[in-house]
Amino acid sequence: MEPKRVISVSQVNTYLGCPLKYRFQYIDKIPRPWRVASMAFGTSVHAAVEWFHKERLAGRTADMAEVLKVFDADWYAQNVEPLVFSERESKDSLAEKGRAMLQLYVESGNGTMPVAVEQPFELDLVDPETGELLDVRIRGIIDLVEADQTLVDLKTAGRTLEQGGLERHLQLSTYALAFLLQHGDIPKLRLDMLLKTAKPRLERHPTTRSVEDLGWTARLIREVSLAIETEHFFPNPSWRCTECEYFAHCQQWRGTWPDEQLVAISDGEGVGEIAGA
Amino acid sequence: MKADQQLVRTVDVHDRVGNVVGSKDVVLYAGLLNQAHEEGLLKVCTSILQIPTEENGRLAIVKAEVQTAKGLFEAVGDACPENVDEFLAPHLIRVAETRAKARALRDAVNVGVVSYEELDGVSLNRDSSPGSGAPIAARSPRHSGNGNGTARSRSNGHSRPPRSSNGNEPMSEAQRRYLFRIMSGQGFQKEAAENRLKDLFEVSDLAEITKVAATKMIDELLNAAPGNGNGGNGAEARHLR
Ligand code: SF4
Repeated sequence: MEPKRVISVSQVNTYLGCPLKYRFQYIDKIPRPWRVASMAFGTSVHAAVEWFHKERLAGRTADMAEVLKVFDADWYAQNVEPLVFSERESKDSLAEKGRAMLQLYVESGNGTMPVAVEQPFELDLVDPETGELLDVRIRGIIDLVEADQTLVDLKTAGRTLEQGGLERHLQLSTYALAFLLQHGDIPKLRLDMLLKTAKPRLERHPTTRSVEDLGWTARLIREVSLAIETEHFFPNPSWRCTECEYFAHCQQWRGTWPDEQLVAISDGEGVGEIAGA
Repeated sequence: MKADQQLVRTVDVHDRVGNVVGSKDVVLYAGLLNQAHEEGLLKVCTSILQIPTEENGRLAIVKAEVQTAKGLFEAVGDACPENVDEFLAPHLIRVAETRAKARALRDAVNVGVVSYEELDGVSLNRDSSPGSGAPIAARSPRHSGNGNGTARSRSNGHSRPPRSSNGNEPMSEAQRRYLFRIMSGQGFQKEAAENRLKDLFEVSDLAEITKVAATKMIDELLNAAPGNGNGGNGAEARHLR
């Protein structure tokens, strides 16, 4: 018997952002010639926050200096390969900002203890409204589970949430769906946003979901999985193209970009122009 | 050595399209576990050092601790879609865990032969006596081919699917980040850490480090860390969790 397709939340998000980018990344597995610095920065901040909570989970006092050491090591390692910075940012300015953001995060603790950090899940997708088994497995990782069963997703971002962004947040919806399918209740949810504003800010956005919301989420994931299975990979041009690592491949797909230039870009040349295109 | 003689099996080594290109002596996890019980196994526990995500190339890293009457033995195991059979790809954490336990058990029972579960690209010979059998059952789909002819199938109908990995691919971003974290735990920051890594790997550029070499080095650095079976306080491992 063929094993069921397993799809992750980030795959669903990537597909919804741009199906062609999904193909380049997950089907063709084209190595990314460069990465957007803000993504790598978010990963480094995330690594330090994860370490902080794991120390607390283990009953140890997490020392600020150690949290910053984890961030510094991770950020340095991220910069070993080409990153593309926006005009206003540099390796050093983001290092400084990251340290300030982490200081703020650690100092603004809400006092609730974590019961799980980076908790993985993988389960058969079921429509919670009808009980129908949807022939795909979903997997993901919950950033943080707090003692009162609040599931938390942590994001770094340049600006606050847009209107409706919290209600549409697919990662939180999928956490809630997984929790409902595993435990039979809808959990409390929270999006913690560390903002890279001139003076860093931490915003905590509590929310929840209804069974109807989660039925919609389950069916959305099933439809994305079916679209991938049937190889529907089309470009979805948007603001995302300005920071898409596969911009050159996408141009080639359109047939407007000569092959030699594609090779040069894949080797890391000219990434500044691409990022700003 | 007596333990080795009882545990060792011969396995086929395949090339990337499934042809048998040689054979290799290995030990089986089940045999190692039996041996460890005979030698006073007190505990086997594991902790996940890295959960596989799309961002880290789906590389799972698990640390195992095995305690016997002789002491505490630690090892790490990794698994990513490139170093497991296709049908095991959804179970990377479990594979990494088994590999970590197998390596720690090997140290604990003093067996120098690599374990079957640590390897990719091998299968048990038909005439090999299979020990307690669990690994064979787990790996049997390797012999069945896919054969359903669907466009999406990546199997070519050989006994083994083609591999995308030849062991020489560069270390992953996750491995690089992980090595810098270990260096930081050892007191090497930024350029000092980079230089230290270049020295350890004997390379002039970190881009020359392969995935396989990085895996081995991570294992060695964690094993050399204070606090494991080789003595010390575990500062690095703690720093990594
Ligand atoms: S450049 Fe834009 S349309 Fe093309 S793959 Fe990237 S995100 Fe999609």
